Parts: sequence; structure tokens; C-alpha cells
Amino acid sequence: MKHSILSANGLCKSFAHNGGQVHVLSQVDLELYERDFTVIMGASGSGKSTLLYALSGMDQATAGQVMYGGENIVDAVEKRLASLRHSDFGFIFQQMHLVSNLSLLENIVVPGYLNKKVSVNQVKARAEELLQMMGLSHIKSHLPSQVSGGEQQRCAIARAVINNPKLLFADEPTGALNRKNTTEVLNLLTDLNQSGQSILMVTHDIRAALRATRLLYLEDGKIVGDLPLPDYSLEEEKSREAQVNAWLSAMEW
Amino acid sequence: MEIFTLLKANIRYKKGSFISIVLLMIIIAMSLTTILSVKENCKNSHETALDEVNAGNITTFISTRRLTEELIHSVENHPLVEKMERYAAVCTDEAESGENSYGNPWLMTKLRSGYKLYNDDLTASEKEMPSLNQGEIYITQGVATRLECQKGDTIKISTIGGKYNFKVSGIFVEPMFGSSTIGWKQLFISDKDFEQMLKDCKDNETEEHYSDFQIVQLYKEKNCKLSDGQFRRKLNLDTGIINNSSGSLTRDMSIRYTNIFSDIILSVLMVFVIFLFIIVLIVMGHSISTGVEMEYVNLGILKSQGFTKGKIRTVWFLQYFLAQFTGTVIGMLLTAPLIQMLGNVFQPITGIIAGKDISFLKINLVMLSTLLISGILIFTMTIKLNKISPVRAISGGHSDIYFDSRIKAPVCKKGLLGSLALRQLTSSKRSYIGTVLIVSILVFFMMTITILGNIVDSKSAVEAMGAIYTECDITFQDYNPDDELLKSIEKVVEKYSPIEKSYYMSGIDLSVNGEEIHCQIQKNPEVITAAKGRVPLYDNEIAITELLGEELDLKMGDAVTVAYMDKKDKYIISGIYQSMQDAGLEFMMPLTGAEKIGISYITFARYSLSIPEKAREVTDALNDSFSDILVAENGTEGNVMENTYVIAINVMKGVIFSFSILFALLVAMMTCSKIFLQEKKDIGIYKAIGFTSAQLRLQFAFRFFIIALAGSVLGTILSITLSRHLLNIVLRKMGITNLVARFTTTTIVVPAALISICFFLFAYLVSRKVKQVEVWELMTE
Repeated sequence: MKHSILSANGLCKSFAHNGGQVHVLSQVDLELYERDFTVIMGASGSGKSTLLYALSGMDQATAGQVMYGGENIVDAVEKRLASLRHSDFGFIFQQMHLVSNLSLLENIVVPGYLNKKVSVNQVKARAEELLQMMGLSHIKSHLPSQVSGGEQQRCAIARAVINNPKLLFADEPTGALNRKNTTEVLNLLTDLNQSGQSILMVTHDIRAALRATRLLYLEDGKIVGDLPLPDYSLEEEKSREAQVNAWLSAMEW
Repeated sequence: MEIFTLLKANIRYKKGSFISIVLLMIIIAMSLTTILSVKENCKNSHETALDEVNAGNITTFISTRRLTEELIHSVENHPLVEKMERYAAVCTDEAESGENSYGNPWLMTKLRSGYKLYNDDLTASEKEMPSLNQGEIYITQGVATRLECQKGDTIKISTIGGKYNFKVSGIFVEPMFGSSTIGWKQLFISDKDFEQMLKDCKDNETEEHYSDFQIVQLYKEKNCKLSDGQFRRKLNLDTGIINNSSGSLTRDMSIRYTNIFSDIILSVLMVFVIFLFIIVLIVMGHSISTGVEMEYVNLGILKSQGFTKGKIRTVWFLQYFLAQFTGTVIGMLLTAPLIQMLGNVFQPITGIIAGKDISFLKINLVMLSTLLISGILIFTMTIKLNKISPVRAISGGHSDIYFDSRIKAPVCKKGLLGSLALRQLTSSKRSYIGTVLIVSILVFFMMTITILGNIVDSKSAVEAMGAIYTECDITFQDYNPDDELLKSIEKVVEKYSPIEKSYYMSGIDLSVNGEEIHCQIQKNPEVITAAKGRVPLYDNEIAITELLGEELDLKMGDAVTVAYMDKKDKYIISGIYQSMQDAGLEFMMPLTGAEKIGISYITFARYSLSIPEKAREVTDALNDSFSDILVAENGTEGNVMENTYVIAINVMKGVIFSFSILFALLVAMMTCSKIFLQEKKDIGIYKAIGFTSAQLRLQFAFRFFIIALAGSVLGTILSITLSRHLLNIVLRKMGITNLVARFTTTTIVVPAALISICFFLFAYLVSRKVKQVEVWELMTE
């Protein structure tokens, strides 16, 4: 029996454009579950990232609800949203968005310091552990501009999970990476998921989609496909790829 | 067309900077237009008023008994004299009104035509000046200020013939002696009162004490090319009219002394505006410089799309120049009320109703010059645009712009916001050093301006006009004090207050190249400030006033013969100084120099006290301790004139400080906005990892507080090192020499605190935009 972690009911997002309204999300209903690695796919402009930002409270929905722990975060005030961002949610961007004047270690510890329940030593220990896990220990004092894109993204992942978030949001985390770095980042995300981390990721990369335990397909702001998948394993990757490709073809991707 | 489109887009995108530059230029243009117009109006109004009363090139008052027929004949027939007019006057001994009295002689005359009466609120003149009834008097603005009286009050006039009470029927515009900066005064009474007063005086006059005078107006021949001063000298040499007079004033001297105070205040304001303009140039330079860095990628894109560097530069040039031009035009249009206000401030001092005209020609020239200077700066600063390579710009931009160095200031959980603010500071040297420099320059100028405001108090303003203003004035009673006595006197004074300046001096009329001129003999001449050259320090040197130089056709380096009784010696003119004694016709020599011609005494000691409030106690103590040899007086008592100056000075300070604060705010706003744009992405990132807007705003504002503090320290060092020299140089250029820059706690603390707080508050205000930064702006799709 899967436990729901976050749900969306009738979620809408519109933008004003040329005096009219562009509806990016239309009445999205969605339930996300603990320990799932949910991946949202869809064509460019289908509203994938908009949905991710609306669900994470990074952007405010025009209408509808996003329920998290019994609370509709669409109505949450800024302070509560900030608290959710550093304690309950983690976020990974396509362009990494590390603070350029902080070292990799500092980028990781700063959100940890925002968490009042954890001591400095605990944050530092956790950061070291994550640096080890991400293979960044040797360059932890480097600035983001001094490391590769893959290393930056691994650092961004470590930053996102420093506070052990309940849900990790990832917006095309491999979109700006080469093949080698993409594989490294996906392996890390897979490892995190398999160790219990719930993840919601947006991608249009089929290799990233293969890591999912659940695939959602978004078209014109609506979820039109939902494919459950077993946990990822390298051995079954080929058959999984065929299954996902077939499903995506059915979705006219 | 493409230039116009880009220009429109740029102005829209950077409307904050555009508006700020417009506002800064409005202030500059308003101030410059006001100062130049008021200066011009004061002079023009005075000249018009002199013409209206048909004032002569020389006005002199001379005892009737000394104005012999022979003298009249020689003056009237002098080839340089077009005409000579004279009318009778009675010289007063004292005038009183209420609790105020004045002992210098004033001249009572019959009502004369051509003069104008002020309206009741002293803002304009009446069309007619009604004749006076017995017991009525018309007074000048200077008399009203001096005696603190107004229409309807009673003035008691004492002469050798008796005491007379007059009711003030009005205040009239008296351009020749009307200013409160000139001691002589002319008052109108009815014909009957005058005849009676004259008769009484004649009945009571003695050989030594008489009041029967003539006011003589002397007019130059139309073709006479001599200045008024030269005309006076030539006429005096040929006829002796001035030697026989009790006082004389040329038209030029009247204009100079009537406007001396307003000229000083306006010159100080002018210096202030020049400083403000320098700040505008610095801020604009900084804005262009950071703007180029921030828009590196966009500029690269434009170049890749075929925009030439010339076109891009033209857009940038126009964008800044348009802001300057708009501000200048609006500022000039908004000037009218300020001109009237400032003109009214000086009216009680000059006694002249200043015009309200805007002096367009002069202002247009000055404003064109400021625009030209700005244009050159913008042109120079935009040279950077030429160097942008499209490929480099697009492929990652100007990578070393942001966070190009890092000082390892740790990021800690405790004081997280502070440590992050510090990191942000230490990691972006270009942006922040630029801002620190802007702040330091602002603080430097604010401090310089505060010093300027502080030195122009009523005391130094009077000193700047050439008068010696001291709190404790000692006259030795037939006693020549030696150094030991002077030291004992100083000891007594210092029991109450430190001595800021001490003058040991005497005054005597000496012959300079055969002319009787008042000489100020100083034991320590270095206490006087020279306007040009230096004060006379050696026994063969003298200094002269500019007016005396003009009068006797002398300049620095010239040798003159100074004589006293049967002794004479040659002296070199070492410098020019300012004095109001004898309406500016004076020279100065050191006591050592005077000793060469037999003058070896001083008659006055004057002390400027650090604690002026102690003046009464000091004089009492001196009178008690040295009662047999000296009389000490409190120099500040009964000086009602001070109030008039204080009002004008306070207006000037008000203008300086309010404009300074406005400037600080605008500069803070511009700088903060620029940095905010630079750091918008980081703010988004911090929000995404859980910082609240309030935390980020505080961090942003705190950072600017640190910048402002650093800038303040640098500005303070700059100010302590340079302000005094800068002020001296600039004020001297403006002809003001006697102002001495002093640093006080207020001078240092107020500007630094004001700037730091302004920056903190305005950074906090600007950072309200943090709320508008949405994390989804980090989204890539």
C-alpha cells in the first residue's frame, strides 16, 4: 500500500499574454506517492516544468489545490513556503544554479544551516557524507566556476538533499550535461530513490525516464498518460527502454 | 529607426537610472540657475536703484565748515567732474529704539525725490512716497535691522542740539548706504523737523563738536574712462575733497559692500553645486561602467545581429545624455520660486528688492558647459562598448565580472545572513569596490559640505567680509603692553575658554605714497589670511586690500613709501587681503615694520574664544584683574545684526543639507538598484533553498550598510586629508579667503552616519523587489 505524499486537485496555471490568457495547466489532478521516482514527460511547452514549480510551491497556481501533509500549499504564506523549501522539499535545476561565490561545500551546508533542528556539526557531517557520495570530496573547496557541469549538478543534488527532504523535485537535471555526466547524475538519483527518497522529475530525456518507477505524460497542460514501472535495474534496462518507448509512442511523443 | 527602438527599450529597462539622473540634474540645474540669477538680480537691482535715486559716482559727507567756497569751486570746475550736487544733513550722536541703540553717526536729511518706499511686508515698493509730517521719519532697511524696529515704532535721535522722538512712517529703499553691511545711514525727516534740528545743532555746536554736514554727490564726466575709485583718487589729489570729508563711498564700493554677504553665501552655494555636479558625473560613470558589464551578453547579441559599435554607443550616449538634458531643462523651468525665495532672504541685508528675473544667457552658457562635460564623460565611458566581442559575449558572457575573487570569510550558521552578506561583498570586488568608492566620494563631499556649512556661521561670514570678529575685545588705556603682560592676560582668558585666535593690533592713519590711508598694525600678522600672495611677515612688507590697490594703482610686488610724522621707509606689497575698515581702503603691516617708522605700540588685544558663551565671564575677569590698564568688552553683545546673517546662513545650510540628503538617497537608490539587478539570480537561488524574502532583504540591506561603513571610513580619511585644501582652493577662486575649515565631531559623525543609514534604509527599500523575484525565473524551458 503506497502512501500519498503530495496531491494536486484541479490545478490550473494561466498567464496573461497579449491581452488574453494562456492556460498552461488545465485542471490537473495528481497524486504522488512516497518512495516513488515519478518522471513527467511531454513535448516542449506542454507545461511539465510549470507543473513541477506549481507542485513544489515555487510558483503559485492560478486555481486548484496542492495538498501536502493536509495543508494546501497554494494558500501558504511566503514564510511557510520558505520553511517547506529548506525542510521538506529539495529542488534541482537544469542549470544547477549554485551560488557562484560559495564553494561546493558551502553551497551544500547553507540550506542545512537554515534548518533550526539540526546542529552545525550534524550539517557538516551530513555534507561530508553527501560529498563523499557524490564524489566531490576532493573538490569541496572549489567554486562552482572551477568544476565541470556534472560536478556542479552533483553538488546541486547534494544541496537539495542536505535536509533529507520528503520530496525531491528535479527540473531537467541532465538537460545541460554530457552523456557521461548524465549517467552519473541519473545513477545518483536512482541510488537516492532506492534508498527511500521520493523524487518528482521533469525530463524529455528517454535515458532519464528509464529511471522512473512511474511515468506521467503531459499534453497541453493535462496528464494524459500514467505508466507504473518496477524499480530500475541496469540488467533490465533494454526491456524497460522498449516498454517506455512503446508507451511514449502511444502518447504520440 | 533601430537606434530609436533600442533607445526606447533601454530607457524603459533602466527607467530607475534614467529617472535618478533626471532628478539629480534637476537639482543641479535648479541650484545653478537660482544662484546665477540671484547674483545677477542683486547686482542689477542695485544698479537700477542707484540710477533711480541718481546716485553720484562718489557720495561723500563733509562738515559744512570744511566745505569752503574755494573747495566747491575747485571740485565743480574739475575737468573730470560733470556736476556736483549737495544737500544739508545733520549728523546724529546716537539713535535708540526700544532696547536697542546705535552710536555711530547717521545723517538726517530732508525727504528727497527719486527714493521709493517699501510696502508693509517689504516685498515691493509703493508707487508714491508721501511727504512727511512733523515727528515722522523714514528709515532704511539697515536702520530697521540694526534697531530692530518697524513702521509705527518710535526712534529717539540724539544730536548735540537735543533729543528728538520720531515715529517710523515707513522704510525706504536706500541703495547707496542702505545695506546693513555699510555703517553710514541716511534718514528722512520733514522739512520743518530738519530745520529745527539744524538750528538746535548750530546753536549748541562748539569748535570740536558739530553736526552741520553736507552730503555731496559727485558725478564723473561722461567721457571719463576712470573707475570710480580712480576718479575719487584723482579728484582728491587735485582738490582734497576726500581728505576734507568725514566719509566717502563710491558707487562701485556701495555695490560691492551691499552685496558682499549675498556674494559670499551664493559663492559657497556655487561651490556646493560644483561638488554635486562632480558626484553626478561619478555616479553616471559608475552606472555606465556597471551597465556595460551587466548587459555584456545582450550587447554581444546586438553586435552579432549587425549593430555596429558606433550605433550601440550612440544609443548609450543618447540614453544618458537625454536624462541629463531632460533634468537640466526641467530644473531650469522650476527655478522661479527659488529665485524669489533666495532673493527675499538677502533683502533685509542688502536693503534692495532683488528682481525675480532668470538670467537666461549666462545660465544657458553654464548649462551648456555642464552638458558638454557630461557628454565628454559619457563618450569616454562608452568606449568600453567597442571592445565587446560578440562571440565571447554570447558564449558565457563576461565571466570574470561576478565573483572574480574570494576572501575566505567563513559562512557560519550563527549569523548566517551576516556571513553570507560578507561573502557576497568579498567575492565581487569590482561591483562593490566601485560602490565603496562612490560612497566614499559621497561621504567626502558630504563632509566637505558639512565643513562648508559649519565654517559659514555668522562669525566666519563676518570674518569672510573682512571684519575681525572676536568675543573678547580689549582696549589698552594709554598703555603699551609687553609680552609678559599679554601672557598674563592670555592666562586669565584661558581659565574660562581656550583661545582660538588672538589679535594684538593698533590702527592708525599713515601716508602711503602721500595718501592718508588707515593702517592695521598686527603684532602677529599670520592670524590674518591673505587673498592673494601672503600676509606681511617681515619688517619691509605690507599687505593692501584690493580696493586700495585699485585706488592707488598698486599691485603685489610694488614698492611703496609709508610715512608717519617725519619718518618714512620703503615697503614691498607682499599680498592682498580683505578688510571692511574704512570701506575697504586699508593696508596692513607687522608691528616690526611699523617700528621702523616710529610706531612701536599696540592699542587693542582681541580674542576669539573656543567657548563663545564664556565671553561675559572672560571680560569681567579681565576688567577685575587689569582695571587700571585696560577695558575689556564682550564683542558679541548687542550685535543684533547677527540675526539677519544667521537667517541667511541657515537658509544656505538648509539648502545644502536637504540637497545633500536628497543626493545621498538618489545615489543610494541608483547604486542599490544596479547591484540588485546583478544579483537577481542569486536571490532566486537563495529563495529556492528556503530563504525568506525578509531574510534576503535584510541581508541585502546589511551588505549596503557594510559598504556604506567602508565607504564612510575611506571618505573620512579622504576628507581629513583633502577637504581643507579643496575648500581653500575653491573658495579662494570665488574670492573668499577668511573662512577656515575646522573638523568637529559633527563634521565627521553626521555625514558618515547619515550616509550609512541612508544606504541601509534605501537598500532595504530597493530590496522590496526581492519579493517580486520568483523562483520559477530559474526555470529553463
